[in-house]
Amino acid sequence: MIPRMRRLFRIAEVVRQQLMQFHHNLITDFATAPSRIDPLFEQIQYQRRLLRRCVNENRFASALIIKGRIEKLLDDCRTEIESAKWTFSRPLPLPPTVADIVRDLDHLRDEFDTWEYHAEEHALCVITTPITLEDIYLGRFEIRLFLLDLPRCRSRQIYSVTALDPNPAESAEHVTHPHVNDGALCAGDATSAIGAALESGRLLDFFQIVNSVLHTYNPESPFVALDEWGGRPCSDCDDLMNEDNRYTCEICGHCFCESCVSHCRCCDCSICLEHIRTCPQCDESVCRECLTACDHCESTCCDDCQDDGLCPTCVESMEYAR
Amino acid sequence: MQILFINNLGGGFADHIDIEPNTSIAQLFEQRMSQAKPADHLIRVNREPVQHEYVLQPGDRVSITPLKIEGAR
Repeated sequence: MIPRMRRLFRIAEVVRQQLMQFHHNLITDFATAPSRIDPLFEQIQYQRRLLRRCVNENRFASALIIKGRIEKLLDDCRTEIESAKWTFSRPLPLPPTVADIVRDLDHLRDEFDTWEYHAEEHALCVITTPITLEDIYLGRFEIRLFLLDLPRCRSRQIYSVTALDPNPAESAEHVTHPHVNDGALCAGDATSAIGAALESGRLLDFFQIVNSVLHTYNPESPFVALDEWGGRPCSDCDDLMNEDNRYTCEICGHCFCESCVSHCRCCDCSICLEHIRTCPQCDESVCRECLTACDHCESTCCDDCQDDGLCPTCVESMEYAR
Repeated sequence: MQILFINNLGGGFADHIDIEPNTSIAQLFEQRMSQAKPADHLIRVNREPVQHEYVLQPGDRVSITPLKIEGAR
């Protein structure tokens, strides 16, 4: 056997062993699923005995309470039976043969220019072609499948997606693709198909499906929308802003850059230039919440200028009158 | 005759199906994916691309994967 094929067989053996473990876990689930029903039946029997005694002793108020308990237990029982039925009705995918897995591995190089096996972490990696979505270059991505996690493929994501030429969103450095956050792909419509491919050991299909998701943009549900990839535009001057120089006006809720926003001298909140006010006493910028009427003359000034609810003019005239 | 048919759209259907002898891959696509266009899919027979007139053989493994699948957040 040539060394390359020998290597493929070794990887396939690892995949096969992990999938056998996955199937073992599934069958264990079959064995335990109905066990939650038994205690419910026992409780129903017990409550029925109590109910009969209440009826015999003409204790109808107690009988009604027990009737309610039985009704609740029957509901719980139905839920557990449906859950067990669902577990049993799910098809049990047969583990693929080693030869099938080898064929998949052998054809990975036809579909992807680069694929590698990292023996130290038993990870299978492929690299996508450079991806550009809506004219935004996102570069190549590495899809890394951790083979030793295959038995847990139903409970968590067992692969990572890493940008090799990262061009992350300006507003979120961990978002390297509209559907990738911190190395995790949100597979959306592909979630079930990815799960089915992994459970059946169809590695080639798995990588092709993930590749298709990476080559698609869903504007309805991205981590960061592509039209905001370079930052969000300022609502006033249209300059692109990142998270560090973006301010939300407390009045209108729109986002503004550092040049198009002001801050209230009293409460330090951010207010856009359209909604900022000026205190007639100190000429400083303030928000409308901090601009209040004088208790005596009803002229407005900021909270910092007021003294016990009075504007500086009234304070001064009262001091003079004293 | 039987083939293994894998549809990686939606739930990821994979099962052995019966088809008429002399069915081409294009005919199978039309039967199974009537609303879809072949150009929007990666169609493989025994893991390899084939011409649309390829006549399916017993035991063939056909996989169809959409080229565009929407992710989420």
